Amino acid sequence: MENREIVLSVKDLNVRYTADRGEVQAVTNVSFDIHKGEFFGLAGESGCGKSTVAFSIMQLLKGAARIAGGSIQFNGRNVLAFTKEELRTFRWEKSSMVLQSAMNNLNPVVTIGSQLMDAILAHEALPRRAAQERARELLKLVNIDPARIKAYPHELSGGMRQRVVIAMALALRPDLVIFDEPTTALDVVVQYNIIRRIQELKRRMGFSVLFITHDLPLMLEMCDRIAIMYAGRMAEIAPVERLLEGGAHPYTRGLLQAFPSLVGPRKELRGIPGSVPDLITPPAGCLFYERCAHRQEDCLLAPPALEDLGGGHSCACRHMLSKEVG
Amino acid sequence: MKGITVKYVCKRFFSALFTLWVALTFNFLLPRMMGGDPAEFLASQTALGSAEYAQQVREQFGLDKSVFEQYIRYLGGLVRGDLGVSYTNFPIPVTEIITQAIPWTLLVVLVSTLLSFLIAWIIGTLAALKKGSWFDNLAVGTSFYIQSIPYFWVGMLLVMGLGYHLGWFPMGHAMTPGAELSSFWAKAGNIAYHACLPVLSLVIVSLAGRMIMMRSNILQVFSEDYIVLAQAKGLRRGKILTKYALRNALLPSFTGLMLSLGQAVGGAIATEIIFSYPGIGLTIMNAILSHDYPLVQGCFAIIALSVVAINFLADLIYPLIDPRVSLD
Amino acid sequence: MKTRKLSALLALVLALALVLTGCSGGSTSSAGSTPADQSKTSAPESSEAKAPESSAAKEPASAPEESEPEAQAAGGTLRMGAYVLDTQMSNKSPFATSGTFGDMLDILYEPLLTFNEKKGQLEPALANEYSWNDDFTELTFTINPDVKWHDGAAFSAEDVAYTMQVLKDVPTFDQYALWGKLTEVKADGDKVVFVTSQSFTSLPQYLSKVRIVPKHIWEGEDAENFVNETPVGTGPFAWEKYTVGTSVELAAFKDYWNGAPKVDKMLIVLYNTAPNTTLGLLNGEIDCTTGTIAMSSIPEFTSKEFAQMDIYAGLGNFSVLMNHENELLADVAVRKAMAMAINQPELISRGEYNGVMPTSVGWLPDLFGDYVNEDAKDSLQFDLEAAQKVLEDAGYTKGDDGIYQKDGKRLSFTYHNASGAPAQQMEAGMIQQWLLNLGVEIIPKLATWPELTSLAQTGKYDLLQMGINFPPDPYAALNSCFNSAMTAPTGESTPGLNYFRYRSEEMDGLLEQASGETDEGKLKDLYYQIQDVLAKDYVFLPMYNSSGHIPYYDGASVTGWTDYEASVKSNRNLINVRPVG
Repeated sequence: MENREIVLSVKDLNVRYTADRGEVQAVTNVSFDIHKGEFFGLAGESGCGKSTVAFSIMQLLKGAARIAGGSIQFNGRNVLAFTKEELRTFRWEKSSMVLQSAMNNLNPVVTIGSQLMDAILAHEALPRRAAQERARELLKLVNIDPARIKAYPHELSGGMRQRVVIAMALALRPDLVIFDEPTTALDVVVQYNIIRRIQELKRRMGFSVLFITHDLPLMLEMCDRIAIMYAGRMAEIAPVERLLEGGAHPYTRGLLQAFPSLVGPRKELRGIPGSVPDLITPPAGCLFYERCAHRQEDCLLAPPALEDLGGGHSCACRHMLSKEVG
Repeated sequence: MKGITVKYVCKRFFSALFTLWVALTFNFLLPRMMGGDPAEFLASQTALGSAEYAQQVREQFGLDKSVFEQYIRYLGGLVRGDLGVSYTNFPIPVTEIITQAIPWTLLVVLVSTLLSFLIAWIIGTLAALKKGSWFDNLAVGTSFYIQSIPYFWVGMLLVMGLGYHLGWFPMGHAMTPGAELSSFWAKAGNIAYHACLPVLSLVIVSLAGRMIMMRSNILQVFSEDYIVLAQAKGLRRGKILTKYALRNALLPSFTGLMLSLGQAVGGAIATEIIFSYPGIGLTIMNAILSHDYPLVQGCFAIIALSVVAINFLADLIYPLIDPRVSLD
Repeated sequence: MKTRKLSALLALVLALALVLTGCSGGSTSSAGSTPADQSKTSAPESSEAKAPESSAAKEPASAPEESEPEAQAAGGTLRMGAYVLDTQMSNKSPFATSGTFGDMLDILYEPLLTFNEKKGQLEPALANEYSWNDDFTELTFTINPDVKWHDGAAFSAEDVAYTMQVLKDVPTFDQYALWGKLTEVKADGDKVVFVTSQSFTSLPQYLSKVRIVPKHIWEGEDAENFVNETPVGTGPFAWEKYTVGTSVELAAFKDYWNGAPKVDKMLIVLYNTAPNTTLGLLNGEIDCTTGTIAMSSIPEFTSKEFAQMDIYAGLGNFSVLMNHENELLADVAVRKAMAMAINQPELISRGEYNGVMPTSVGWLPDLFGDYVNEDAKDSLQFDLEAAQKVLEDAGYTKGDDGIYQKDGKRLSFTYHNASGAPAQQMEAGMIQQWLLNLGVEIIPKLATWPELTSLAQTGKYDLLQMGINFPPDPYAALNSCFNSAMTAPTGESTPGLNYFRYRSEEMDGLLEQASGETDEGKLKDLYYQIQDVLAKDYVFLPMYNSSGHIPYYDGASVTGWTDYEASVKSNRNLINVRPVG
């Protein structure tokens, strides 16, 4: 796994944005790599900065948010140094995105076929007929009747709309597809179907996936490796097998124990007491200190750095947990 | 046509017809509720104001019949397109008076409405695109200021400033008095020249609100997910602006435009007064003051008809531009 | 989508422009045949002067170098401004009693005799002379042989007889109810004879209001509904064309009986409001108006070079009507005190910029010449203290609130005046303040002009500020306003103009005598007595005479307003006007 080539390499990414009270440190010193063909998950609770990371990769940060440091390398090229035109071709040809399946993912007054064709024609000079044919193919790819190419978004169900968005993301056969909470707003049955479809398409077309969600158990099913963020920082990156054994970071442990299981004996649910620290004036030491069951004095000194534990596993904690600690 | 069924058109049509009938009935009742007797008014215009004269006038115009009978005659006349004969301009039929005045009103009000929307959209879009810039702040700031200036003041400023003192534009009238204009283009040019100040005054005053609405519509659309996705797709800026942003942002403005167009016939009476423009607004005002029932009724009937007709048209057009509108 | 909208917009604008030019073209004279042709054949210089004419209409100096050096025909255009609505141009029938452009019709058409408002006397027009039979039941006119119609046809007594017949056939045209007294009108060679059932000495004055129409054009039409698209009359200017909402163009009638006009054309520019007319005048785009001018602009106008004002008394009085059926107003002391408390000269100078003449307390305006009782007129003087003394002598005492009262009844009245008329409102304010100074409480009320008329007619008022117009006959002016037969109790509409509900046996008796009196000297004496009665009865509170006040420029673009004996806009003066240079 480690020998496969790296598609995306994020190093020490820092994102800030200006709020009324001051500067918010949304993302601090985040680093991770995604390999070719890898199903990479990015987890964490709401507001931990995972979507911000995704938008930073696509250079779609809005308003007062800006990248304050670090680098994003895509296939060896520095995304942050792209010109406008390079960025335009980068987007969708190399890396595409599927957003949360809210109603407003698609332009309500334009047919889905037209929107698919827009994506295609923005990057390839094809005659309309050919582009239309491609659009039909894409719909077939996600199991939607190609005749629906003239349909408007409001005429499709939530699940179908999301499938259209996925088809759109694959239109140009990108190397990386970023999924930002793609199934959060859907019911479990539809969610299952969509996940299956993503896996199948990935198998067929060979792209890498960056899957962002707060639903950790779901990720454990699908991902190869999972990165866990807390309060804008990377807490742990681990292959799924290691996580199933329990994970090294106390936060990861807490997360895993917080989700109920459908099988096995009844367990008492244990949440993580406390709440996320203020990101405008963060505490000096480890940001998880207040809520950590395993905290020690030296945790207050400085936020721990991400340590490579080998085998694609890294963790940012001074007192990592081993398998035995429950 | 996408989705527009005969059933939909029929439903809308009959609903429009019903609305029109209600409006026309009120139209009939209201002047009569004003009080005052048109026959006596006409009689008072002559030196002696004799009662016999008033009685003759009453018989002539059927005012001595019962209200219900007058109503039936009124409806019957409407169906035939006969709006009756004006009392104060006897024996000129009301339709003739209206057809003489309406084109001028329509020229000034329609042109200024369309221009005003167009300019408002352009400035509003630019201001939204450059949100926070000096242009945006200037546009919004001056809009709020201009919006609070009453129309007649703007009109009078233009007449006195650009017309009287500077002499750049004529101070009034539809065409130059006594001018010998033979060719079509010379005439059209002269009319356009005289229409400049009235149109300008109306545009200035109506620009502000529309500009601000357009700007906020676009800002709201910009915050939608599909715009983010469109950018992520790598579409060109121009395409995102037109096909994705404007197509959605213009929809609410469209309703506003249709409403304004429907009210165009109501005339811009202040414009006509300030610029000596021969439109229908003054006709209506004087008809009301002189209790000229047929003329008042005729004018209001035309106004009601145009509002209902334009709304009917809007109902037909809207599904074409917004596919989300249900056709039930 | 945006381009589609733009192209739709452009198409709409172009379509509208097309429709409009079509419409405006349609309103111009379709029968350019008759009057225009006429002026062409008899006045060849008019066609030459066409080019410089349109420029002459703009600049002051209009040197007609291109036309023939003829002493009479000097070319040029007289530009008159008028406050006229487009709707008033639809009907050009000289018979219509409302909704027409009266001043224009008075230029196109003429009566048998014209009433000179300045001198207060009748002058020959279509008739040269007239004579009565002994008992004043037969009036014979001799037709002016020089008169011609605009289309070249000859004028005759038949036209007069025909015109009178129309009045008989269509009673709504006969606004002075002449056929109530006429029995027959017959044409006899070059004479027309009017036969009446009783002596009708003021018939000539009433006939000065009847415009004569050409029988040969009207007899084929339904006179009641004929709108007279292309008027044919006898006046100094003939119909040419009307451009919607802009102007009326009239061509000089070279065969006019009193002499051809010295200008070639008359351009009447139509304005929607009085202020716009004034602005046009101040801007120099017109040479004169038909009389409308915003009073507050008079000082600015008169300060301009060449500016002149023609001011003369007219056939109407502005006054504050008093309802004599109000028990407090029934007391002559109250009425007298109020009349003395009003400063008439100040009212006229501040309210009307001295552009009008004061109304006499004896009612008759100056234009009635010798009939006006000067003593009665001068008897009313502004004197606040004396006014208060009048009240106190009559038993009124001033209360703590400053208002006079007697037997527990306070002097408190409602005061109606016109809304939407700034000058009226200002004057109402002034009068109300004077009455308040006197010690009378006023409750102001606004109403539109039609409502005011209605209130006056039905007597539903205490005090009401309004103008009353009357025919050019002193008897009619007095009788219709002060005869008790011309009034009705409060709540009913008056048959005449006695809105005051004034009843006086003495007055009725004098009027009765005057109605049958044929001797000039005795008549004058009776009128004097009537005015004396009015002066002591204080029937109304006089304001000002609604007169002519016509502004004009003499010497800027046109000149020649020489005949100061007649109004500036009378036909006598219009034919004298010629371009400067």
